[in-house]
Amino acid sequence: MATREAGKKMIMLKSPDGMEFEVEEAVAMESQTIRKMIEDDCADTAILIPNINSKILSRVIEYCNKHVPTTGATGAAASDTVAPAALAEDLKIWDAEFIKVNRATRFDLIQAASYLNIKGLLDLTSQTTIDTISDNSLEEIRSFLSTKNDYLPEEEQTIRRENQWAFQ
Amino acid sequence: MKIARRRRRQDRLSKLSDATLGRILSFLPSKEAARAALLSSRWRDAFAGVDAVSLEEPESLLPDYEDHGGCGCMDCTYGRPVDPNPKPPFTTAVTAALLARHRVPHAPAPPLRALRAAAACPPRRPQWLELDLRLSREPICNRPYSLRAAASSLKDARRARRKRRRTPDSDADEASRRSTRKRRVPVSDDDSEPDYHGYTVPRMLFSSVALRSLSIGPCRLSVPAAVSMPSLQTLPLTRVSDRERHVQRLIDACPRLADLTLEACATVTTLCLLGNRRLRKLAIRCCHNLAVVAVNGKLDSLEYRGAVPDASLLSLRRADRSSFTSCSIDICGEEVSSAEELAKLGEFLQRVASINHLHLRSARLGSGIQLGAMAKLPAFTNLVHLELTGRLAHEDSDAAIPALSRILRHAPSLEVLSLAFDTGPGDEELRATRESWEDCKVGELTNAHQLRYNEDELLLPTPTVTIRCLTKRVREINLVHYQGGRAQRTLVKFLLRNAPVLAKLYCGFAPGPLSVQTKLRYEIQGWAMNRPKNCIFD
Repeated sequence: MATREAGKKMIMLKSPDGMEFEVEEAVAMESQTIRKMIEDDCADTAILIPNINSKILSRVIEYCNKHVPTTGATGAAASDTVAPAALAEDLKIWDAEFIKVNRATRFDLIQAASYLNIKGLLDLTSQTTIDTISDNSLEEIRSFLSTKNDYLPEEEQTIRRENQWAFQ
Repeated sequence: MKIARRRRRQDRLSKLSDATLGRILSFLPSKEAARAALLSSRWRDAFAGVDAVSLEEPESLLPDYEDHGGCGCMDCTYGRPVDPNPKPPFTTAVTAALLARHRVPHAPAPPLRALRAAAACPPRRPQWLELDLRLSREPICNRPYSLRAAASSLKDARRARRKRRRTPDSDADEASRRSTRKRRVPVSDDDSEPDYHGYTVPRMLFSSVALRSLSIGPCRLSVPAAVSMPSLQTLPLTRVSDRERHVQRLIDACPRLADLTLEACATVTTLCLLGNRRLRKLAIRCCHNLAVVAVNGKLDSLEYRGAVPDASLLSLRRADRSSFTSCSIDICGEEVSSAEELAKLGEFLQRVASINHLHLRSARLGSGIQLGAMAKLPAFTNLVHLELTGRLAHEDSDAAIPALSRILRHAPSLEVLSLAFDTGPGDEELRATRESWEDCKVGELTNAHQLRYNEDELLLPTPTVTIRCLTKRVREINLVHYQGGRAQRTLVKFLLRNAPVLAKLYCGFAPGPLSVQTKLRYEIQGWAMNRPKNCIFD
């Protein structure tokens, strides 16, 4: 752990492909998983984030940087000049820009958000995915998700019966 | 084939955990989300992880505005030719969606974050909307019925274990208690855990104009400051963890409330129903801290379950007592035998003496009414139907007849008498207390039944007493779960031998071999004085 400025703790995050990212503790704590590690004192040197490559991890850190609640002196100054509503609007536009990525990256982001337990990012990525697939037929959704139908016809019937309320 | 499939580009979403899949599906309308089960086997149970339920009632394709002003939805079609295959009502789908979350037993559903149910009816036409949000079926009370040690002298240890008597130095008992405790871990204890951190009811619900019936629990209501439920008539609350004043505020906001049920609401100590003038039915089950209920309306029926109630529990105006017709008192937990508790019960019964229908349930059938301690048994002048539920163990036959004859003497206009014989802890509890199936013999399982009949057993001579209502009025006797055995046989013989005007006799046997049932049946038929016209054996 290194200290860059007085009062601001830094955390080192490591991706499995060897890249290291130094982030403020507050930013890293956007992730509930990392927050727990820090609170349990498991984060003395660097935290290895498995399964998330450096490209995705850098994007996740970018998201957290943007969404970390502004506190302290700079935060107070910011909220004096900009109304909270406008700030939220700003964030929304930024989010929309942020999520303009290809499908594979988006799925990786969902996975990362799910592992790191970052609620805002998970909501954003899930919502975008759902927006793309809703109103499509099952076959279209399957091909979008690259899933194969592995049911037997009888099994399909059973599922329809079990969830009858959803097919009425 | 399988290998080929594995080589395909892997479905990346499928690698996510069930909870995450559920999160993603939560953004869809619930029907679409449930249909995702058809995608592939990985998605089959994904709906269990959904934490937001959102449903919209589909509008009918051909709305018919002309002849009755309805909007064409299910609830406005009164007077129309009946559709042979009607769509199920919208509320069924809401309930089905809520239940579908709980279908996977090994993965408990996450707390519900949002519930949105939009019905197709325009709000100006009041529609009857019922919402069932009972989210789990835990036992509401952990005070099992049990008889006191002095009264029961059961021989074999297994039966004693089954009964879970409170004798601290018996090993078998300690083991059984430990196992019960283990089994009941998920149930929050009534006193120790007031804040059940489960579901929080969506606020929208508390300003619903159309809602007529709302069943909730276990949950936190967090009633908002502005709450108005003008059409609500039925409100069962189960294991609600809010403060008392919040529950009170909700009840105060329902002017049309007719049927109120409180189950295991440990926070409530005083309940003021003075503002609910339309209240007709009140049920209080296992709210063990509730001490006072003030009622203003013309209450028809009261159902109470819990410890022996204080006479001050129900404060009812004297003028309103006449409308009070039905009362059910269920004393859970250990058998009542102390003098003060019996006196308390007597005093409470005094309060409700004008009823037509009384149901008294306790660990032991008759709950010590014969004892001197219950000095103040009122005269139930209007009582027509008396129901008694409880255990009558095979061995003790001396208490039941005095208890029953005492209460019958106090009920001169009784016409229907129903006795339901409890069999002690149910099969499930028995199964749970047993360590494993292996520690009991095969014969024990296959021959396990509750019927007892011994031809050679001498029944005590039935006392020849004249009880006015029995000789003149009682037309119907119902026996539920009749098991035979000396105590029950003596009691039934006594009743039938003294009931000359009996017209209807029903006897439902406890499970057991047909041969024993037949013998018990012939015996009962022999006792009946002038062959009741209507005899049903079941």
